[in-house]
Amino acid sequence: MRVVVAGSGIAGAIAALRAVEEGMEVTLVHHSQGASHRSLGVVDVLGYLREEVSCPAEGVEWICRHRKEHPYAITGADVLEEALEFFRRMAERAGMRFMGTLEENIHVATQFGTFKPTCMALEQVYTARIEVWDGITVGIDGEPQRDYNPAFIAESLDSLLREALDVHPERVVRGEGELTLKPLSQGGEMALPLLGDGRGVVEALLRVASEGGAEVRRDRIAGGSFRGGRLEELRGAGGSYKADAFVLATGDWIGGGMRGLGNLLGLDMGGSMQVRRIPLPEEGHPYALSGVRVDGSLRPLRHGEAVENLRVAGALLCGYDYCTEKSGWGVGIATGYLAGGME
Amino acid sequence: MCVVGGGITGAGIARDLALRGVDVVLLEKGDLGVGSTGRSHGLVHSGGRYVVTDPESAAQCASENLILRRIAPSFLQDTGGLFVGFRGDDEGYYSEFARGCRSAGVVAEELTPEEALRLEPGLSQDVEVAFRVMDAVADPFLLTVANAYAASLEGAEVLTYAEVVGIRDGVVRYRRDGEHEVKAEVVVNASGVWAAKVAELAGYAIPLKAYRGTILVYAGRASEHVINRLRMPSQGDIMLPHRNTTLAGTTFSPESRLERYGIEVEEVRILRREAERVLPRLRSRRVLRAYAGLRPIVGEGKKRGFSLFPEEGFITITGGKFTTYRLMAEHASDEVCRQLGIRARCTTASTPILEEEQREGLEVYLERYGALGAEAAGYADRRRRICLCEDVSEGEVLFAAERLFCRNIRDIRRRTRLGMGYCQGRRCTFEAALVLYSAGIINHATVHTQVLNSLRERWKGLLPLAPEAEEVLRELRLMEATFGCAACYDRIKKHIRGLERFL
Repeated sequence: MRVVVAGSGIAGAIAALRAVEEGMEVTLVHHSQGASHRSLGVVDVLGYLREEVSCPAEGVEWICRHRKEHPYAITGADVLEEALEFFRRMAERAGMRFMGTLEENIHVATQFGTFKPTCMALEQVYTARIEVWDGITVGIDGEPQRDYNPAFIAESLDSLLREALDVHPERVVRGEGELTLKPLSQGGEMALPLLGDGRGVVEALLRVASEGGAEVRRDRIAGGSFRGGRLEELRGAGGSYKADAFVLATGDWIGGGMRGLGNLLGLDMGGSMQVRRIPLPEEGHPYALSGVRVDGSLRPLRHGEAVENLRVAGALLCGYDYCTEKSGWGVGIATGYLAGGME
Repeated sequence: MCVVGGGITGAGIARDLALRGVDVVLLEKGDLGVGSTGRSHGLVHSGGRYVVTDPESAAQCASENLILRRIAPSFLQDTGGLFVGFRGDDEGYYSEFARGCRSAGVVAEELTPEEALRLEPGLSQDVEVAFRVMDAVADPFLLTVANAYAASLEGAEVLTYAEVVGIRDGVVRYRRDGEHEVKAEVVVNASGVWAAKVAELAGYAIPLKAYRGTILVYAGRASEHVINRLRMPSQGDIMLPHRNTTLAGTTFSPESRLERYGIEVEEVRILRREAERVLPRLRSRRVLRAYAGLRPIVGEGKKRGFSLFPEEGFITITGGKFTTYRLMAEHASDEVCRQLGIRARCTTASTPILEEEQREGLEVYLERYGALGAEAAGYADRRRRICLCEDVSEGEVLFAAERLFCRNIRDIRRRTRLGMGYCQGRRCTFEAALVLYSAGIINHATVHTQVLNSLRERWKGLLPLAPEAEEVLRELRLMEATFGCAACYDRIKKHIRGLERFL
């Protein structure tokens, strides 16, 4: 079977890898850098619902029961778990060791002097999680760079952790460190993820897909043609791509998968376009939930009918907001895995 | 004496009086030029716009235009302007305009449509008639800062973020990190749209109305001249090149609120329609931001002149225009001097605002910061670019922070254009905050609050565009992904405490 995957974020990369693993003939077409490339390169599965989530497995289960529109409710918790294992295996092939389980979230420090909950991270980051800082002193290393200033990070974390992380009060004492954090890009043993590290991870995954036989092409998808409830081809600037099945993982507005209120293929969109008056509200923006509507197999609806041979994965889907939930790569991996398996 | 209000008029008055040897304190409740001044389009009018409806304002604009060219050449971009009539416009207005220009002393040279198109190839081909006028463009923030800077060189004290809360018996009380007071024999109320509120503190009533004007910022320069519609003044009449952008404005609607007023989606629609009719190439350009300001207008709104209310010890000057600020300052200062029995005459019509030094290597700084450029050049060794969209260096950030009355990153933005480009500060705000942190100017908690406040400000400018401009959703989402998804500010902001230290 011939499969074309559009998009090279985490969802597209995983979909292509899965399809290769299933023995399909895969072409991955990608164009711009989306949200995955600009992320920290950690696997957020679920950081927050109304409150912070300490056990992602429980949080996902709650979502499966109560939020039918959410991609996790479509993939189910089992597929998520299987998909994360698959991701771990593929990352291993690329020489990257990811650690973490669905049983607990860890907290990682960021270059913004903040911290965030996440589920899986590269070994170097995982071993530098805030949870292990108990009772020891922390220093942050490296020369100040454009958007990385170790003195600022240390000072900010010191005060924020005292103020905010009431689960771990008084854990951090700043000073000469036994434990030294360095930015990941400087190859520290105890590393701090930086904005943009996600790019390294998805590019490594694409190389694995390519070594497994997938053809990776740069082109911008501009549209497609349908016949009889099936997608016949995707059209790009560099030609058209015909296949038996397709995966659309072109991201939201950041990646270019959505333009204003629409998308490239005229698929049905769900959600509202309301934007709140201030940025970063805890409850999120209604517009962030909008995206392509799909059926139980991630097949998108077009004029109310599911497109038989097309699957949608990642941020193009409606019903979730990875920014407020901190669920970006979790959803990307779960839906990419399911879509790539053509189940 | 004390000036209340740090817009272009208040700064102009502070300078005028300081030059006459008067002891001046200027109190501004926010940043310099943050009210109507900075929200104008910075057009130094030829006068043409008012020749039919308000000849007196037209004549004032025409003569002040010439004076500003003399005293502040480096702060003006001498773009020249065109008044352009298109097929379907009211032909009767064309001849009224020509007559009005002659009688008000506004220089206007008639061009053939071919000549106009040769000067501005981006104009719609529907040009029917065109006049060339002496419009110029200034950066309103910078011109205000330059006036305040010049005033401070003459001994005036300039205090920003100092909100006046009481005026009585020659004492002005204000809040600035706690409550303070200053004695003043005369108070000048130059608080623009807030003039009625400030007058009320002193026990006077001023009949003032506010009219909202909205302006769109398009990426890139779509013309090299200021383009004015040749018609009875209406909405969306003016398109002008400002730095690396095109401003399209303005709308005109009564506004009951002085703060936190919104921009309506319909206003954005009107402005886009009008601007894209005149300069069709704008259709493919990106709208970066929308902003709105309030015009203070005394009386019924047809006339755009200024008004002086000379009470004993409390002088209010309001109304008027950006172009005529110097004349307003002169009138108010004359009245101050009359009340104080000071004989010194106004010298602002002939004294350059700042010494205009021409020196090799200074060109780029002069172009950006006018005569303040010589100071900016002192920071030239800090070359690292912080804002990639508007090409602002680390040195310029520090220059603004240390020399130009800045208290936060938004103030720095107004002086340097940091974060005013494509990404609207998404990439550079945090970096700029780190520059200030490294220089010991702000502490870590302030880095966070500065970033969050800047984001909020940018968000406000993008929001009204969201339904109209598709690419705006991308910018909004990128901000959320960077500062929400990655930095987790959405959840952590409530924990950011600690004493904020200002610049």
